[in-house]
Amino acid sequence: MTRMECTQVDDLLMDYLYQELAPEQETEFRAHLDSCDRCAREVRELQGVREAVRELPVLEPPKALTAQLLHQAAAAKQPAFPWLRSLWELLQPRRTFYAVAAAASLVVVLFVGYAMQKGRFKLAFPAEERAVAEATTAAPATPTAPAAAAPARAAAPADEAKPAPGAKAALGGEALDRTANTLVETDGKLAAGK
Amino acid sequence: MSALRDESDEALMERYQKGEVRAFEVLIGRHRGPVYNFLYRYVNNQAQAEDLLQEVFLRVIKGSDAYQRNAKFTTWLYTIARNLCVDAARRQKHRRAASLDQPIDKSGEGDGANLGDVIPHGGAAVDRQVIGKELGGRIEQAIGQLVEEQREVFIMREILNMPFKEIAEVTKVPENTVKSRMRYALEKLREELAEYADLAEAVR
Repeated sequence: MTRMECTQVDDLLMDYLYQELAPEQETEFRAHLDSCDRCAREVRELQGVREAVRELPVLEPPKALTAQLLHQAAAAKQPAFPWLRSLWELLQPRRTFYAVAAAASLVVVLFVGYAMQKGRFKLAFPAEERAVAEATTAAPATPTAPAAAAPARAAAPADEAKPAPGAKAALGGEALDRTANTLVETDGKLAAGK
Repeated sequence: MSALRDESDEALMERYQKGEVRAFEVLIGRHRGPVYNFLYRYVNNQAQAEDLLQEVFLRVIKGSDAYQRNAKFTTWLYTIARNLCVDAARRQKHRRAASLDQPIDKSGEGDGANLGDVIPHGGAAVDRQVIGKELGGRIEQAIGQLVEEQREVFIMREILNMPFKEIAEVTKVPENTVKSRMRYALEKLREELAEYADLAEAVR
């Protein structure tokens, strides 16, 4: 076994201290320490510093920080509407985040129901289709356009409801049930038969 | 959930890239503590460490799309953390000089009383807890007084137990440079703590 010199030991001191030496090197290193007081003392003193440092407390970051980060992490992967996203960007605990997400989903569902009521989606009956198409092309964006379609749909089956804007919430669900099976894709917003 | 916990950092990042937020939650749980300790030991300021912690993970989130699986996650993570600390320290150069005069005192007690005040004359029983607190404060101060390039290596090696090779990748210097900086750091601390060495022995 080759004897290690003090200079070599000096070079490898950090590797030894942090257990990054190969096994054979470590054996030689220890052998040198056994017979060299100077190197042995150096190792012992630096080990002492390490042990003192090890007594430092391990700190815990506040839990609230994690909640905020998860919020951001989720928001980064959510394809949200811009206005919804800025709402979510308010610092909220996770519970509230999911509650808001659920509420937002409900609003979307109700809006879809309302939109279906107002004839934005193709209906099963051709007569209705034409009436709705005429009404919506006339003034597609305004709320009064769907109302104009209402008289045209008066001849439609009696069970078709005529919603007032204020009642959209109550009737939205009803319209969904009735048209669920007959819904056809219009502007690509909903798939058929679901 | 236990399945996610067994996954590597790199696998979890891949999952998050694909939209699995739960995977990112596991990553945060795993690394928030060590990152926070790194930051706190680096800047020695609790409020600042908390701000930096947020910033580190926000950058991970923002950079998640570009993350490559073959890159070691912790190397990337601590490169971000370290760069933020370097920037923060650069901005605080003036404040740092003033704060070094005060011993960092988390317990809120005392103003750095000397050991002479603590130990009764005649060398009676030495209170281990008191020594421990004093020593801890002294160590924190000594780490804070290391030059930045030594302090960052010291914190990564001692607090994070990061291998020298990885420290070299984070700090972008050769491994041998890392080891000599570590050596200087340990020797400086030995100097600072010399007066406590005998007492530490006595209370062991």
